[in-house]
Amino acid sequence: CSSKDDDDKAYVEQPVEKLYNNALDSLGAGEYKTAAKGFEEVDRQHPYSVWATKAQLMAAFSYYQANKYDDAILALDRFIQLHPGHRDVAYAYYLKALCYYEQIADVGRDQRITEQALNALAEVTKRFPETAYARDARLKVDLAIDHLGGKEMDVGRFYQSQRQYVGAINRYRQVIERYQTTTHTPEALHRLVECYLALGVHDEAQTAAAVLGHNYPGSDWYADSYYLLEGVDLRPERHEGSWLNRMWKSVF
Amino acid sequence: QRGGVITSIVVQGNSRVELETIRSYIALREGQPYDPEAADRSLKALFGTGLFSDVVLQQDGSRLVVKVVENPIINRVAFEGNKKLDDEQLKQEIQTKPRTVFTQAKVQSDVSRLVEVYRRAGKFNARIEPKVIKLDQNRVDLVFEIDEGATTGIRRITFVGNEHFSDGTLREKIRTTESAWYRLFTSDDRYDPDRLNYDKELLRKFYLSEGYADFRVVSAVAELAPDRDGFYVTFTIAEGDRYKFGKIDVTTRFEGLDVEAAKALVTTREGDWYDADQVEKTITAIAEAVGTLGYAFVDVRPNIRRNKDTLTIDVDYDIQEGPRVYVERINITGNTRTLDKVIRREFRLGEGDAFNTAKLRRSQQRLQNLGFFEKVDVSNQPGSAADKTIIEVNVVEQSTGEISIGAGYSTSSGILGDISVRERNLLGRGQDLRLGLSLGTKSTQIDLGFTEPYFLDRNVSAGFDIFRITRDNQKTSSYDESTLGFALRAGWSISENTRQSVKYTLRRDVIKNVGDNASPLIKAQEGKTWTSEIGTVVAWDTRDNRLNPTKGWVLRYALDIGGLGGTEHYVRNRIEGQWYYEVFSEVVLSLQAQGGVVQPINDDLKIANRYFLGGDNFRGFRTGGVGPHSGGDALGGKYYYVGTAELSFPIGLPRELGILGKAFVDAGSLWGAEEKDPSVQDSSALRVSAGIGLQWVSPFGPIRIDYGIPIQKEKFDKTERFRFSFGTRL
Repeated sequence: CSSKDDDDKAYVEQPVEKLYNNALDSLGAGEYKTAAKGFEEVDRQHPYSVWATKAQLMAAFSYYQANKYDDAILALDRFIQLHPGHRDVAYAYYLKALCYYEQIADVGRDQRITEQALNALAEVTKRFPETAYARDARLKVDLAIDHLGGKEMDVGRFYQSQRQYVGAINRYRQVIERYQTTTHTPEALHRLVECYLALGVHDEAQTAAAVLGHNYPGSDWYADSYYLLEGVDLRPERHEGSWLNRMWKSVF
Repeated sequence: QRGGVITSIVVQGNSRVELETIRSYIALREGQPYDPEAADRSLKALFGTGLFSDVVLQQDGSRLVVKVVENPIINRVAFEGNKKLDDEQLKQEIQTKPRTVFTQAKVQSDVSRLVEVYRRAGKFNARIEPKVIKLDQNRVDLVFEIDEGATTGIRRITFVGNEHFSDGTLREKIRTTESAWYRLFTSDDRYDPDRLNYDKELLRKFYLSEGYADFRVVSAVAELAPDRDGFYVTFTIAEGDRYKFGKIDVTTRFEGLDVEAAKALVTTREGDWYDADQVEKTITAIAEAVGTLGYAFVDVRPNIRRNKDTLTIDVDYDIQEGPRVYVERINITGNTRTLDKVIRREFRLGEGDAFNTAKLRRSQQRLQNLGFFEKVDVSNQPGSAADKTIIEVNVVEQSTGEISIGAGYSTSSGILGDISVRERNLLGRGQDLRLGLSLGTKSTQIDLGFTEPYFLDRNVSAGFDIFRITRDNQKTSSYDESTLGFALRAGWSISENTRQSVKYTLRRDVIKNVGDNASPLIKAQEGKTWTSEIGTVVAWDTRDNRLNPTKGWVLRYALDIGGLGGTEHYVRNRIEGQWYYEVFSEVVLSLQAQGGVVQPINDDLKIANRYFLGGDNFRGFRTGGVGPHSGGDALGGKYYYVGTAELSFPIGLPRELGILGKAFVDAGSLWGAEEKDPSVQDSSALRVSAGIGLQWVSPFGPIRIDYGIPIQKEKFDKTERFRFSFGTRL
């Protein structure tokens, strides 16, 4: 069969330095797939040399550069399993998190990868809190959470467009309860005003607008909400019974 | 001695795995007393890494000696003897990879995995032998030696115990198919135990919808042929008696609910053949209607009573209060390509709605009907409170791109070849894009169509078409025609069985190459016309199946107005009805009728916008053969009607050949020539033809042969008794 010949061609015993340097040259030249294969060859032909460990990590990096994330994650898992005490293990964890992070799909699609990225990033911050990797991971954790908030918004907007306001309100409520620190909060509050007005629940609409005005006074969303309320002769005003009022009190 | 303090830990036998790594798995520490339990845990952890084939913990005085034997590292993995599946495909299935640790357990599980993979590919005789070649530096090469054996497709599917339906009919109802040379792109002709179970369910569903309420699949057995290269699948079934609906009643425990209104929703009548599908439909309809009346928690249960002596089934739809549960969330996973809303909009339940099992079932059905997914799993889980439930939807996406290639011959179009490329879920947005090209000796056509099923997130499908058609009409009317056009369309459902659509078309028709011997009236048609037309169609459709209907009717009314710009001005009305009835088993009577009127406004009606009759729509006559003629050329007319009565029946040949006979009578007329010229022959008299035909779903594609004899005709009509068509699609 065909690919066996390729394997035979590739399989030439070579000294470890030569293999490693060739792979490094490919990496420098941007030929990432060739580089990955080259580093793996080091590990394969000379598994007991000092270069093998380094080559494993370099192979993973090359796969990452080639956008072959599944291969990179496999290689990193192998590295982490074999060398849990290695000085570069923090980097391995970080690179694995990046592999998930870069595969995050837009909010219209399945967000399982986002969850996986979040877990992997959290692991970096937990295991190696003092490193530069952890600092970057923390930033990316925020962005991933923002993305999950965006997913709730996307579904909420869908239900709102179908005039299924109860479903929409539940999703916007999720944004405020679980993703309050994200950029989606002001829009979620404004959409709540819209939905509650559509349902005729004026107290909740006024409270949502008041919370929006209090926390994001300069935002366009607040201007929109204010205008909407004005249209039905209402003003932003907090009502004691509202879930928003209770929740905001406990948070701030 | 045991229990003493450990002063040092010594690791022996490791060469690749670092000391630190091994130490990290050991639960004992220097300076701590020896704890047998911790030693045991360490041992388990070290074995658990899969890095070692042997680990021994020994106490040597106060020293703890850890002796390990490392598993070899895999240098290469190779396959030998594989032809059907290539190395890449096999590599993806196995766990052992180059540079990973070799363990016997992993190799064994890979072998059984590969055997499984080969079975799925239809190779039940495949034998796989792993060979290990030891290399230096504690490395090994692993070679899977494969003997694929012959492909074991399904040679024959037989049914035992079926009296009312032929093997052929039942074979069409199940997924598994017999192997045949032309089934190139399917794996349904391979034996798969899961598929066989699914088939049992499909058979049960089919029989239940036909009134056989006692139906049972006694067994479904697949036997390997003695020469081991094929399977014989046998379904043994017990049909039982056929039941009719007995008393149908609707009862309720809700006070004040109008039971009579609910009764009107029952789709079956006493005396109809029992049909479990209709019972299910009725349940959904009642649940929905009662739900809209403000009864949120509805559970409609059919109480079914079987009367063995009268062979009837009484159904009592009991409208009860369902569990008071709301939908908290609908979580959708697995859609890496398809947009969330494409899935969510098929749901008959929204978040925050009252939970209803009938609607959940309907939602799952709708998702499956999209054809975007290989598998749709819908389950409901407990929510954050006792009265809330979370619906989990997991989909497995499948390829939605299609290429189809076809070839055929028919009397009206000559030899025909066509190819089309289609994507049914464009960019995961649920849109449909299709490009088709068809080349024939008498016509060529190229068209591009695009459809968005939920235009602006509303329940309206919208799309456009671009097309170019050239047609050789020399034989009937002595001209060639070429059309280039563009259409915008939108359609929506008015009710369960009623649809309306509107369409705008801009079209350029060119009439050219008019023959020297053509009628001067055809010569006058030569040239270019622009048609700008807006039209609407309303259709009522209750047929059980669009492709092969056996019961139900369809009624369609179309109105087109030409003249919003362009050179042509007319109003065209057309009405069409079809009715199907299964007289007895597999004998289907169909009655069809249609008629139309096209009225020019202010100017002449050009030939491209006139009606033609004959050929496929009036057998016994040539295409365009009925109606006004001048000098032997068909001119087309402004008024037409045609009715058809057709009976299709089995003709006594072995049923599995799939040959059906037909007997038909066509009657109708086309008249109203646009031209006032003494050479025009025109008559509104009735034309009648009758004939017989054969329809064969052959291994080479469907074949149709019709022989029609004109019984009543005008002398200028052109007849053609024999028609033949053959088409194949891959």
